[in-house]
Amino acid sequence: MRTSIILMVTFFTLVTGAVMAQKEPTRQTVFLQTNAQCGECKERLEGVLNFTKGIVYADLHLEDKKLEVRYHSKRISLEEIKKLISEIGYDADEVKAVKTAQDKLPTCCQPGGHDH
Amino acid sequence: MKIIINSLAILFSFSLLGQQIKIHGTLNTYIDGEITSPLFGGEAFLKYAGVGDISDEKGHFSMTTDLNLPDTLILRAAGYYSDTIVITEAKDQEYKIVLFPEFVAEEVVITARRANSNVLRLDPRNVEQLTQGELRKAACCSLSESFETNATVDVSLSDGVSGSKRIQMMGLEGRYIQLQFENIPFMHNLDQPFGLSSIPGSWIESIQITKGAGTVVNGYESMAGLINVEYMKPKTIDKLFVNGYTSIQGRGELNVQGGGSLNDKWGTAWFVHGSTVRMDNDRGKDGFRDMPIGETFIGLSRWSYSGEKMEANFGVKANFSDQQGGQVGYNRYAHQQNQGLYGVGIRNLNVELFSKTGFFFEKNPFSSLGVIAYAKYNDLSAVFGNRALEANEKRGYVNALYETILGTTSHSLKSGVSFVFDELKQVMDDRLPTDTSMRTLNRQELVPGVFSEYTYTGVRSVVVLGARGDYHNLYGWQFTPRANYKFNFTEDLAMRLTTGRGFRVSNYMMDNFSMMSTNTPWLVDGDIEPEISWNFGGSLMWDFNLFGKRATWTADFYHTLFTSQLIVDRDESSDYIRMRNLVGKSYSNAFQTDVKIEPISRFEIKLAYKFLDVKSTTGGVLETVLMVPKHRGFINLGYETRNQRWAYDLTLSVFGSQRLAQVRYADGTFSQDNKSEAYPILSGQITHRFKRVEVYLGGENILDYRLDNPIVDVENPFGENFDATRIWAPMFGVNVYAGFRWSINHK
Repeated sequence: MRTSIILMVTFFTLVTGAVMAQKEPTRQTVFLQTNAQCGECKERLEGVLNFTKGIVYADLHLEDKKLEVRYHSKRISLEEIKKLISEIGYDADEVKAVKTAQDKLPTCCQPGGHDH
Repeated sequence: MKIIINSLAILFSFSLLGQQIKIHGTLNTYIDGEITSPLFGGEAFLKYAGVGDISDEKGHFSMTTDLNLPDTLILRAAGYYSDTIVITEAKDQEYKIVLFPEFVAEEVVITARRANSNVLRLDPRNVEQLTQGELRKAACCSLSESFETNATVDVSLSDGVSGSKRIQMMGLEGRYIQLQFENIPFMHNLDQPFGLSSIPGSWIESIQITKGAGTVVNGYESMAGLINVEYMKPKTIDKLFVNGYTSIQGRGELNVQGGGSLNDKWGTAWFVHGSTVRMDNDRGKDGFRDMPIGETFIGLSRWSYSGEKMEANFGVKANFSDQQGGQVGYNRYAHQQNQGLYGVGIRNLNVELFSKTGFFFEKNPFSSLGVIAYAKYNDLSAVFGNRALEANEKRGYVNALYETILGTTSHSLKSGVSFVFDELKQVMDDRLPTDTSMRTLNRQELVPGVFSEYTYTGVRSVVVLGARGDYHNLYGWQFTPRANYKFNFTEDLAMRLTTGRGFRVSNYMMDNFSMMSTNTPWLVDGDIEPEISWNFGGSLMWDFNLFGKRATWTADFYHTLFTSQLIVDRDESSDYIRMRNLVGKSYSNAFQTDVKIEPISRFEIKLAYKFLDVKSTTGGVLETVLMVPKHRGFINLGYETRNQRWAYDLTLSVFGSQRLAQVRYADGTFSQDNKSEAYPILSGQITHRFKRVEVYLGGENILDYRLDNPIVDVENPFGENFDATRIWAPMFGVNVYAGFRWSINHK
C-alpha cells in the first residue's frame, strides 16, 4: 500500500512535470537591443522579419532602438532571428551587425548617420 | 537633417540627486545662410522619458526628468528637418541647436511610416494628401476611382451609356478643379471628360487635393480647388512591379512598371498599362451595356538627371482608348445601317511630352530657376447614337519661374512668366428627330502671362499673396489675385483662410460631353463668355489625443461665387437643353467636417460629413443645381495586423437626395418626382501580403444599390424622348474583384 502510494505520487509528479513542460509557451516575445535609429531602419527590419516564417510580428521601438519580436520557438530560434537581424545590417543584443550588410545601408541608417 | 551644435556647455558637472537631470537649450534656424534667428514653436522632447517642451519666442526650451539612459532628444519644427541627439551621460546639459529649413538641406529624409491620407500641416493652403497606401485600399484602377475612399472629392457615373466617371468637389463639377501632374497643368478640353481614367492607380505616388484658390504660379484655372498628381519617380519606383486585376464584370487589367537609378546622375522609370472589358454586362435587361466594352493602352517613359547645378525631369506619355457602349451587340466598326443599334463609341488618342528643369546658383543657395515645358496632341472621335463628335487639339505650355528670398528666409518670392498655346478643332453633328444641326467650335488660344507670389513665414503665421496678369488673345486682360493666410493658435490648432479669383475658358461640347447621351437637342447661344469665379473659404484643423493616440478634427467652409458661367439650363424647357451665359446668380456653399481617430493601435476610423448648397439661376429661378446631393456622409474603417500581413478596409458612403431634370416619358407625360432618393454605397477590401507579393479581394457596392431602369424611353433609342443622363446612382450593382501586386525592390 505504502509502496503503491509512493508510486502513485511519483507517477503524478512525473505526469504533472511532463504536462508542465509541455505547457511551456511555444510563442515567445523578446526585446532585442538593436542600433537601428530611423524610420527607414524600421521599414527595413520589419519588412524582412514580418515576412519570415515563424515570426508572429516584429515591431521596432525607435525611442529605445529595441525590437519587439514575437515568434514560434519551434519554428525559429532566437539565434536564427539575431543572425537574420545582423544580416540585414543591425546589431541584435550580443550579435553584431554583418559589416558588409551594414555598409550597404543608406547613410541615415549607418551607425552615426544621425550625428553631425 | 544636418545639425550643428555650435557649442555644448556643461553647466553643472557635479552629480545630482539620483538621475534627475535638466536638459535645456535654444533652437535656432538659419535665415540667410550665415545669420541665425531663434525658432519659435519647435518641439524638443525625450523619446524614452516622454517629456518635452515647445521652444518659446527666444527659441528656449527646458525640461527636467528622471532619465533611463541612453535616451534620445528629438528636435523638430514644422518646415525644418528634425534631428536627434543621443544622451548617454546623466549630466545637466545645454544645447544650442540649429535646424535647417527643409528647402535648404541637401539630403532627402525618409521618415517613419506616414499616414495614408493626411492634411499637409505646413502648407498655408488646405491641402489633403493621399499616398499610394491610401490608393491601395481600394485597388483603384484609375485616378477617378482613387477618390472613392475619400470624402472631399465625389465620384459618380457621368451618364448611362459611356461608362465615364465624373468628379465633384464642393458640389462643383470636375472642370472647375484645376488638374495638374507634378505641378504641370493638364487635362484641358478634349481629355477633360475622361482624362482621369488615363492615369492608372499603380502609377501614382501621391495626390494632393487643395481646397479653395490654388497658387497663381500654375495658372488662372483653379476655381473650386486644385488636384495635383505625382507619378512614381525613378528614385522611388520598384525595380519591377506587376499588378493584375480582374472583376466579375469582365474587366481585366495589367500594369507593369519599373526603373531606378542608372548612375549617380541619371535615373529612369517606365510604365505600361493595358486594360480590357470584353463581357457584355446588362443586369437591368434593358438591352444596353451597363459599361462599355473596349481596350485601353497607356505608356509612360520618364528620365531624370540631377547634377550639382541643375536638375532635369522629362518624359513622354501616350494613351489610346477605344470604348464601345450602347445596345448589346453594337459594333462601331461594322456597317451601321445593317445593325440598326444605338451605339456609343469613344476613341481617344493622347500624346503628352513634358520637361522640368531646375537651375541652382552656387553663390546664392536660396535662389533657383525652374522651367517647365509641356506639349499635348489629342484626337477624339465620339458617337452617341445619331450624334457624332470629331475633335482635335494641340496644346503647348511653357512656364519659367525664379524663386528667391528677400533678405531672410521669412520672406520669399516666386516670379515668372508663362505662355499657353491651344489650337482646338471640334465638329459636332446632330441628326436628332427634332433637330439636325452641325456645330463647330474652332479656336486658337494664345495666352502670355506674368505672375508673382510673395510668401511671409512668421513664427505663428504664413501669408501668401499672389497675382497674375494674362493677356488672352480672345478675351483680353485677365487679372487673377489670390491670397492665403495660415495662423497657428497652438502647435495643434491651425486656421487657414483663402480667397481668390478663377478664370476659365469653357468648351460647351466637352464640358457637357455626357449630355450627348440624350436625344433632347442642345440650344447653344452664340456669345458664350469665359467663366469667372471668386472663392472665399476657411478651415480649422485640430490635432488632439484620444485613447492615447493622435486624432485629427478638421472643419472647413468655402463659398464659390460665379460672376460669369456657362449655364446648362434644363429647367427652361424639357424640349431642349439651353446652354447660355449666366443671367442671375450662381454659387456654391460647401461645409465639410472630418474626424480621424485611432481607438486601437493600427485601427483607424475616418468620419466625414458634407453639406452642399449649390444653386444657380435656371429657367429664370434660383434653383439647386442638378445632380448635387445636399448631404453626404462617409465612414471609413481600416485595420492592419501587427505583422503587416493582413489589411482590411471598409468604406460606407451615403449620398443624399439630388435634384433631377424633368424629362418626358415615352407616353408623352412629364416626370413629376424630380428628386432622387438617398442611397448608401458600401465597399471593402482585404489585402494579404507576402514577402514579394500581395493579393487582394474586394467588393464594390456590396449592398447592391442600383438603378434598375435608368434610361428614359430605352425601347426607342432613336426617338425624341431617349435620355441616358438621369443617372444619379450606380447602374452596375455589386462588383467583386481580385488582383495581385508583385514587386522586386532595389534593396
